[in-house]
Amino acid sequence: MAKVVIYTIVVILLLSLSIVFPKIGASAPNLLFLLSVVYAFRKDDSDYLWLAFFSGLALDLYTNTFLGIFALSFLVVAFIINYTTRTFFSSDLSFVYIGVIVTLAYLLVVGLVYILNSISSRFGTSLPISGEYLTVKIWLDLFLNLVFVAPMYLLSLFNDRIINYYSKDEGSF
Amino acid sequence: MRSNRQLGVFSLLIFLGLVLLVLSINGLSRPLQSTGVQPSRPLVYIFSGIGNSFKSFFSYFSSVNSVNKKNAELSEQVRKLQQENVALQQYRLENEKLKDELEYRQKTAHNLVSATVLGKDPSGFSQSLVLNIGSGSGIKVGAAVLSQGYLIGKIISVDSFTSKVLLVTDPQSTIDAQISATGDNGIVRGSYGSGMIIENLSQSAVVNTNDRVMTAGLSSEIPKGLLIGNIGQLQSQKSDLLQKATVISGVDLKNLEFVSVIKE
Repeated sequence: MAKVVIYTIVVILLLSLSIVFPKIGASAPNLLFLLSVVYAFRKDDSDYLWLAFFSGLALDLYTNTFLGIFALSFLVVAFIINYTTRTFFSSDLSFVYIGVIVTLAYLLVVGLVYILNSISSRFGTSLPISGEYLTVKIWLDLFLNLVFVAPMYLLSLFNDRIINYYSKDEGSF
Repeated sequence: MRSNRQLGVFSLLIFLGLVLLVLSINGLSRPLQSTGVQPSRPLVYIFSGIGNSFKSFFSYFSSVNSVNKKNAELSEQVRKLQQENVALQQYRLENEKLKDELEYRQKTAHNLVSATVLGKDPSGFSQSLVLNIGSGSGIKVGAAVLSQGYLIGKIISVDSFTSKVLLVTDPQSTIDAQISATGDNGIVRGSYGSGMIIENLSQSAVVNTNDRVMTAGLSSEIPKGLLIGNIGQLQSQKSDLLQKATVISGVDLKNLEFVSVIKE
């Protein structure tokens, strides 16, 4: 129960922060994406899947895309990250590895969002995302995401400490 | 065992995501979206306030620093006054924005509905806003959205209590436009780099810096004569078949708080 409440609060807080986050040019870090990625690295249970799905869904509410596009994209990327990390890297993860994975994951999310939105736009009324995004601002977005990986990692550790603290309390009752 | 459970959860969520996507494509997810936006509304307000306080906080420190150098004895007093000023400045700015909006509303012949900006697109994939009014207030898709008399975008989706605005600076936004001084027609398109660009102007068109760019009223939703901005810099060469130039909006599209929507 504590876990669900804390994850919900964190997602809503990060969504609110993302909405008011000052943009550099037209770019800003995607905090909910980073949260999903960090949890996909760290978690062995299925928590990271729920978190990735609902983080994406939170983004879907405020974007022009169809509902579910970010949710599905985040979910698929989180699953791939978790699978590759558990399968190929058993020791401590290096910064280089995390940087490479965040970069690839972001490019994959962008690709998935584009593809899903383009397919969906054929069946329903929604604007396709501009192709100008790929050429102009994606690289600055990517850089800002890499800068914010470490703070999000620390946030995830902090969350776990709070969850452990409250879970003990729940157990004692 | 653990992997099987993860695979099960993954499959379940993929199914759920696809169901939501299909519902959304068929326009059946609007109530869900409208309800989903509500829990984050108070927090967005709070964070906007904190964000503004941070901006004021840093400008406050830089000013106190210079005051300290000039007069160390008065620094404490200045700090207190500055703190009060920060709050007052926010009220003044809010007041000015509301006054500007009201002034335009009194002048215009259009039937306007006031709206507060709830948030902007957090994904960064588009430039859009979420407003606190929807179909319940008579808002329709395609309606023009204004701020201080300038066209800032048009409504692209509406549900009962909220609506989404595609800003004129989004690359997907295109508006039929006219240079008011000469009557030359063109298309104003959003651009990530330059904000807005007016293009498709004929080679014979006379384009001068600071000329006003208005809506041409060729589409049914956006009325003629709404101010979009002023001509900035000519971007085309003499050899180009058609001319284009940047258009500068008179309002700061990154810091919108109150807007008006034209109701038919």
